[in-house]
Amino acid sequence: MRLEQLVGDVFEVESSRLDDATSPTSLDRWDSLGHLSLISAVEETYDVFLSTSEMREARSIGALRQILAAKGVAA
Amino acid sequence: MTLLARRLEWQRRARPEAPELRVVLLSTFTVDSLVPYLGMALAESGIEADIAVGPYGQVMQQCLDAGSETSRARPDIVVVWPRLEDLWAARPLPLDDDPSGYAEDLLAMVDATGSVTTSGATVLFVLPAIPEMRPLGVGDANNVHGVFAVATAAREAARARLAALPGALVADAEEVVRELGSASTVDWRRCAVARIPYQETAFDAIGRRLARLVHLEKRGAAKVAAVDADQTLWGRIVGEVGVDQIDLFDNGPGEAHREFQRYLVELQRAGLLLTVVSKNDPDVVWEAFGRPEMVVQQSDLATSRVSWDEKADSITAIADELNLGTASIVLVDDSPIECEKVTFQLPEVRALLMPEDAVGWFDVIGRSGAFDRLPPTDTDRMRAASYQQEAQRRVLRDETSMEAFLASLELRVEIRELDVADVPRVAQLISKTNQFTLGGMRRSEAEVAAIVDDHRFAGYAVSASDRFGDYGTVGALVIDRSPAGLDLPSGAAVLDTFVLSCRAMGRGVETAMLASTFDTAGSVWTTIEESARNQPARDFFAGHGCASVGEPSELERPAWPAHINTD
Repeated sequence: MRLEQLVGDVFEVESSRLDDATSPTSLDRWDSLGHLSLISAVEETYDVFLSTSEMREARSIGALRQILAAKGVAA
Repeated sequence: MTLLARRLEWQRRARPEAPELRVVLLSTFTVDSLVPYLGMALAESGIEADIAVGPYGQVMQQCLDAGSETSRARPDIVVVWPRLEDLWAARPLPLDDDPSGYAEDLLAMVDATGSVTTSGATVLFVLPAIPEMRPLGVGDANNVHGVFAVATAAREAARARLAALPGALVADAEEVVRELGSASTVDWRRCAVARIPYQETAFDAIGRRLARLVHLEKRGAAKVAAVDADQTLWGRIVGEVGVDQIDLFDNGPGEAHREFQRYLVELQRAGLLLTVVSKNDPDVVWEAFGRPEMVVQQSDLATSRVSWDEKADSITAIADELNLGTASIVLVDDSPIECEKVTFQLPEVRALLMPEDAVGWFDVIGRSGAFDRLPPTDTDRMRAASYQQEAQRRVLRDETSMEAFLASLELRVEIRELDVADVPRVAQLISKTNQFTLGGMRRSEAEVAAIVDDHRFAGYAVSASDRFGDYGTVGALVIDRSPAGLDLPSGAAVLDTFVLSCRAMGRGVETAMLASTFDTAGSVWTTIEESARNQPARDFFAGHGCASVGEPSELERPAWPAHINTD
C-alpha cells in the first residue's frame, strides 16, 4: 500500500492532497495521538517496528518513507 | 478483520445520534487506543455506544467532583482503568517494606468510583495488571513482600471492595496478560513516547472483555443450553453402535467428552439450565444416560426434546415449556448443518459449533462468551430446582380446574419495603424481565439502590412460595409519590416500575401486587409502554384501567386474590 493512501485512511483525507512534505503542521488530525495512530498503522501494514527515536523523527510523510526505506520497505 | 481495519472501521462509522450507551473512559495512562476496540466490540453485540475519554490522569477528580466533565456528560457507564505502575510512581517497588500501603491508592480509587454509582452510572472497573518490573527476577516468587505478592494483595483488596459497590462490574487486565502473554501485551516504546503502556492487541482484548460485561449487564445471560447428544455428550452415534459402544471410555476421546460433561454440570451450578436436544430414538438416548460413566444425569436436565423433529422446532418447544424466549437459548452441537439450520430458522438463537476433536471444548465455549454470567444470586441457585417444581405444578394444573388449582397451591406472597439487601436481585429482575414489565424506563442497580432511602419513592420487593417450593424474590414495584412532568390530580402517585418473573406469572401474584400499591396511595396512575414481549403485562393492565398503551391511565383497585395468603 502506498504511504499516502495509508496516511489518508488514518487521518481521513484524500490521499491526492498528500505528499512528502505533509506533516503535523499541514494536517489537523496529525496531532500527538494521531501520530501514534499513524505509527501503529504503519507498523501493522508494513510489518516493521520503529524505535522510539524513529517514532520521534517520523514527522513527515517523506521522513517516514526514508525510515521505511532503511528497513527495506518501499512505500 | 485486522486490528488496523477495526480501528479504521470505527473511525468511518457515523456516530449514533441516539446512542444506547454513553461511556466515559478514565485512566491513569493514555487510554484513547481502547475507544475503537470497545466501540466495535459493543457494536458487534448490538449496542451502539458513544465513547469519550476523560481528562488524562484525573480519575479521582473526575469521579469525586460533581461538576467534572465526566459528571456533566451524564454517562451510563464509567470505565476506570488504573495501572499499578502509575499509582506506585512515588514509591519504590515492593521489596521488604510493610506491604499495606501499596493497596491504599488503588482502594482510594475504588472508593472514589462509588461517587459515580450514586449519580446512576454503572462503574466498570478494570483491575490493574501485575507490574512487569520485578528486580528480584525469579526471586520475586520467593518474596512474600515482592512485586507479584503485593500487587496481588492490592488487586484482591480492590476486588473485594468493588463487590460491595452496588452494580459495579469488574474486568481484569491481568486476564489479558494471561491470554496474550506479557510480551504481546505491554508496549515499552509507546509507553515511553506517549504513556500508552499496551499494544493494540491488548486494547482489542480488553475491549472485547468490557463489551462482554456490558452485554451481560444490558441483555442478561443465556438461560438455557440445548446440548446435542451423539458426538457431543459422548463419542460416536448411539443409534449405530449401541449404548455399550458409545465413547465414554478412559484414555481417549471418551475422556474428553466426560470432561465436557463436567463443565456442563459446573455451568448448571452457576445457574444455566441444561437441556438435551437430539434427533434420536428417545429410548436409546435415555438408556445411554444409564451408562455409569455419564457425568450429566437425567435429573440435571430442566427438560429435553429427543425426537426426529427439526432442532429449531425442539428449541421453540423448550422455550414454550420453560416460559422463556428462544433468544435466551444457546445450541451446543458438533454438526455444522444442525447449527446452520437452527440459526437460519431462529436467527436469535446462538449456535456454538464444537470442533471435531472433543478436547478443550470448555475453552471454546469460554472464549465465545456465550455462557458468561455474573456470580449467582441465591435466587439463581433456586431456579433450577424451581423449574423441576414447575413441571409438578403443571401436572396438577392439567388435572383440576383453575380455581381449584390456585387454591391447592397454598400460595404465599410477601410484599415488603425495598431493603438494601434486595437491591441486587431487584435490579436483576428489572433488567431481565421482558414479559411482565411496564416497558419504558429500566433502573440500573445503582438507581435502585438510590431509591431505598429516597422518600419520594416507595419500592417493594415481592417473594412468593407455594407447597412445591420457594420461588424467592420474583417481583418488584416502585411507586413515585411526587411524579414530575405529568398533569395528574394532586395526591396521585405513579407506578413507574412493575416487574414479575415469568416463573410466577398466572397465579394471581400480579393482582396481589397491584392491590398492594393502593396501600401507598389512593390514586395510582401508570403508563404501560409496548415492548417486543410484554404482551402479558399489557393484557393484565388493560384489565385494570389502562385503556391505551403509551398514555398515563388511572389504575382500578383490584381485590386481593382470595387464594393468596400473606405473611
